[in-house]
Amino acid sequence: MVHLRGAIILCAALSAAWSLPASAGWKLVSGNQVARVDSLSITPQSDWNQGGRPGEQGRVWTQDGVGLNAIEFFSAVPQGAPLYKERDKKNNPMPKFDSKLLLPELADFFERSFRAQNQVSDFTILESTPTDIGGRKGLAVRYRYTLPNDELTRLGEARMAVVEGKLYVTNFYAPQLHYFDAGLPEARAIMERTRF
Amino acid sequence: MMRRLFVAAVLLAAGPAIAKDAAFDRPTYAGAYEPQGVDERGLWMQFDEHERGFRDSPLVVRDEALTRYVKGVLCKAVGEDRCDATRVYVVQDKNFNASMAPNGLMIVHTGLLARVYSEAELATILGHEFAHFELRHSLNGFKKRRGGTDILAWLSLSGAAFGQSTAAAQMAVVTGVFSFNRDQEREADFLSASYIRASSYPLRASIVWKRLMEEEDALREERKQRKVRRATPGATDTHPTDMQRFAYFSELEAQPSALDGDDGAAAYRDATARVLPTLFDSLVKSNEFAGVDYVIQTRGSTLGWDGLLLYARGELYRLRGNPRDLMTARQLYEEAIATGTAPAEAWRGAGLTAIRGGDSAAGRSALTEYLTRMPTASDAAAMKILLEN
Repeated sequence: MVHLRGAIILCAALSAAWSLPASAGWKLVSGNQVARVDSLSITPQSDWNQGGRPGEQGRVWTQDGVGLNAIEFFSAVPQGAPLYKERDKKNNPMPKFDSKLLLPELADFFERSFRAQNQVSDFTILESTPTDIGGRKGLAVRYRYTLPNDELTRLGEARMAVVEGKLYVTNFYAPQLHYFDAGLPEARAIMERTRF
Repeated sequence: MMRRLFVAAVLLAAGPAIAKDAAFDRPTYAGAYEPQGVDERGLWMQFDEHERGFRDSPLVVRDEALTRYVKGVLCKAVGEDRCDATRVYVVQDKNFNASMAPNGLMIVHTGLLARVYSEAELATILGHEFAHFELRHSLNGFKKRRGGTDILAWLSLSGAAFGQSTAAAQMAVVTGVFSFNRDQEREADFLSASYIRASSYPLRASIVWKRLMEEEDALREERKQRKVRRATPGATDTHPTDMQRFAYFSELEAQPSALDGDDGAAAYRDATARVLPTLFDSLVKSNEFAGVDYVIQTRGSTLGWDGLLLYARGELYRLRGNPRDLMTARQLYEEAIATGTAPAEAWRGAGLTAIRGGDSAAGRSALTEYLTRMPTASDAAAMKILLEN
């Protein structure tokens, strides 16, 4: 009987530990120090909070909460994997990355992933231009979107590249009102200083 | 037995909370109508405030001609005297929906405009929304919910005081609120049918619900999900099932002269042809391939294919991106180009799919044409890099 009770307590403890959401904890990322995010080395200018994983290969950072400013890092998304995590595969399946995509098509893939992740109907790519990411040829995408039942115009800027068949993305987004312009210089600096 | 008596006593005690509505002197659509009674005044005040913010929302499609056209269909459906009380906003949303606030704010989704193919079909949906406004459904629904929550509070309190479980009674109150909502929806459907019968349009409602079921079936089949049971609504469904709506509209359409009149299909095609990208863009870029392909094909077979619609279908296939999809997409872009009404982006799609399919020369030529036609395209610089390599 004692053994049985012990086993039940152990099972309960294990299941409680197992069910902890990945995004439960926030960790301080100090400014002007090199931070390792999966296979990326990132050097922010100021302090950030590192949150959960928006994708299997992703991490999110924010300063004032992800509704106000956030930067996502996805490193080495393999062929056939989604950018964002499959949270409801039956009803809201995520687009899968195809390493054969041509450079301009990375913007299409990013747009569809972002739309599915955020259930967005209003999303416009303002500009997608070639850029250099850590010495590799990549794409910079500036976009505008609105969340459902929300009256704020939001902006984003993402940079993406395919390296040895795997996708790397850094993505900064914030409301147009104050936060995007306020955060963009540092976001750009982070993107430019990111090393694989 | 004791428990039933106890529940009945509590419900009786809470009776005044769901007292009958007071009579209203004037209809909601009357000119310069002012809301009557404390509840209606409060509700209108809330929605007036909401509308002040909403009208500037980036989700509102800023296309005066389209908005005027939709409002015109509403006016033909319900009559000029009624429709003047409404403000119509077309909103970027891929879902099939429209809604009506108690103060006359009407929202029409782009996803609805993409899924109806005549003015008569659109009119039945707009008529349904207007019926909610005329019948004060928001106000009555609000009172019903408030009455329901009052009863729930009393039930919980009394149950605790007397040590009796009131779960069954609470469930009855909750399901009663949903059932009330379904009754309102059915009532709005029937009033909408009456508007249409009094208008110059034929009644074309059942086909809309039939297509919605077919679209949902196509999508669920693609996702390997079970078919939906539509014979009867669930206890917490807010609307009658699509099958029920199809059935009662079919009966109404079988009445003498119900189908008489011009359905305005040609006018609808002409009015919406220009804005197909606005209506289809968010559908094409969603992850609902089979459902969206059903919608595009239905529009094509009902109203005819043009360059913009063929291009939209090409994009749908290219974005899914299986090797065979890329071949289908390339054919669709080429068909779009052959119509003479394709957007410049059709050359973009044709070029990308040609290069992906191993035909670089044709791909480069199509991309060059894309940049010639649209030198300021948002991805012009990225395309130039692709052409240089």
